[in-house]
Amino acid sequence: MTLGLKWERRFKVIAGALWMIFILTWVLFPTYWIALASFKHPKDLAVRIPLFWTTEPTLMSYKGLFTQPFLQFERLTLNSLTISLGATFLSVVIAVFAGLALARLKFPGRQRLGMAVFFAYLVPPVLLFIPLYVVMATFKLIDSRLGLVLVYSSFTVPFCVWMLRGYFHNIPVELEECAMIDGCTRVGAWVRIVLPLASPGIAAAAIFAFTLAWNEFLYAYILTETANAQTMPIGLASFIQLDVYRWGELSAGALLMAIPAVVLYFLGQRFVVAGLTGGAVKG
Amino acid sequence: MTQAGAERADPGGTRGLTDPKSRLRLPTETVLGIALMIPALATIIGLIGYPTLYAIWISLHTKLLAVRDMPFVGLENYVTVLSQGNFWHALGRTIYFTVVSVAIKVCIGMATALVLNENWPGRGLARAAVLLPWALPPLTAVVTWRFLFNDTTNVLNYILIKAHLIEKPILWLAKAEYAMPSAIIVGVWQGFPFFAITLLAGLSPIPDNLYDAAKVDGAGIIHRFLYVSLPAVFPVLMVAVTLSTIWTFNQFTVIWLLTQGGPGEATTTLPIAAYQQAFVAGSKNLSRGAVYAVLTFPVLVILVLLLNHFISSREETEA
Repeated sequence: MTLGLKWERRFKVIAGALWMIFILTWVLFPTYWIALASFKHPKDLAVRIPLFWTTEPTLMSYKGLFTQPFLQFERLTLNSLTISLGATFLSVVIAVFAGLALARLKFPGRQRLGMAVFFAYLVPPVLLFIPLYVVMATFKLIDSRLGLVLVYSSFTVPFCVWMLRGYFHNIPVELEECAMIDGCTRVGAWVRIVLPLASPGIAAAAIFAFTLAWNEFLYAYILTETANAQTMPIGLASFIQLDVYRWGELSAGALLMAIPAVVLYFLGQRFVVAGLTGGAVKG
Repeated sequence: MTQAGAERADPGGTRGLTDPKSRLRLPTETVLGIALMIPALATIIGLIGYPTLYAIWISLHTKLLAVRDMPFVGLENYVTVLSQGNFWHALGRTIYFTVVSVAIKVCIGMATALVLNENWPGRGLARAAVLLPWALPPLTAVVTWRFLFNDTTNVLNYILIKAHLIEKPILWLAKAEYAMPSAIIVGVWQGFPFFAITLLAGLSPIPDNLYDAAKVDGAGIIHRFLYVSLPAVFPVLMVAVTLSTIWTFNQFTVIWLLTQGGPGEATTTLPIAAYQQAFVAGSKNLSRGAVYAVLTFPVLVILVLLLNHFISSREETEA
């Protein structure tokens, strides 16, 4: 049942184009809609026939978001930033050590340890959130930013170790050997040769760890109680549960929260690609 | 596996290290390796290994949120939970949610990857656009979809009615029969880019001459997909399916923010049930919640073993 090649090609082009139109609409329309809503005047949000465009964009919703007394959006932003940066810093440092060990040193059980780190990343929060709550309560780390930094390390550390191990693996060991013949110590060769070469990988690991922590919901939901440690998603979720939907403010908040995540994600993507293809060795 | 095979399966170029004359071979290698692993191991053991065991420990006691003591009760909690219909219904919903979501993600992801693998102007932009839902925080994705589903603004229903796809508005989140499909729609929206991108990465190294050879042999478009593309991406596909199954099975955030398990119990999957038992319902019984969580553990173990199998068989074919 082979069609003629010409017809087949035509079919392929048309089907592909239709599919892409469908997919792009499906992906982009919701995003457009929420971005639009955040700039709409409140009266345009309450209408019965939806408006697909606004002629008078306003920042009212954004102002409302920051002046909402019960929400303390600035505080939530600050918490999200501190906690995500803390978890990122902690896990990148830990992961550089572990990644070097797993990629560069021969010791018994190395392969198994590498796999164990990967599987540790797959253990879902759903299994861990109850025991972690009890542990955190024992150490008086409920509603504490430090507590969340520690808990977030449970997924950012395995993630970064796994990523950096792979990255270090792809840096030719010969470079290090040359440095050592020239009189570097092993650690010296790592610091002077491997780490600078791996900097795109380290940056990418840091970026992805940051977005993982920034987006996290379940742990923050159970381990925080007040604006003392609550993060952006928790504050915005309390918005959803109000009786009156404030779609303007909610859209503005959800969009503001998404911007760093999306920008960093695409930046990290580029780092990974550039780092793996750019390479330092020629030939 | 032979020694030589093991060497090849370890493509880190560590072979230089085994040369006895090289300065690289330090007797301290093991010590240094373990020392460098200690912080990571401490994190993993302290924040994953220990809590996993502690979850089992809690499930064997009665631990209420507001009470300090936790008396030992053995398997009593398990007997209670397993004899209630709630657990089995939640398990059924979780399996339904997982199987349907992953199946749709695979289909949409595969179709998208196939189109993105062709050469056409603007496909770089399209690729970035497809990644967008995956890059969004789950909270943003859910707020967006709640807004689309919402019955006062009604934009989704408005569009569907205008397009003559439905006759009267659908109560997406308020009606039990639509709540689960709605949750699946949002989950698929966020999750399919993962498949599109991993499958694209699996498709792009297939050389054109394989397709050309198949064309010469008279293979149509469907046969070329079945006998050229699919076998080539199959290992990647299996890894992606297992990973996505683990994540989907344990999905909490999307369902909770979308429906909180409702209406009624229509979207109460196991993760939602575990949370509700521990932090919402009646006496806030952490042990009951732990039982729900621990009972998902066998599923995780099976999936991880499968994943291990797929990954190691992939490494063997690559070596």
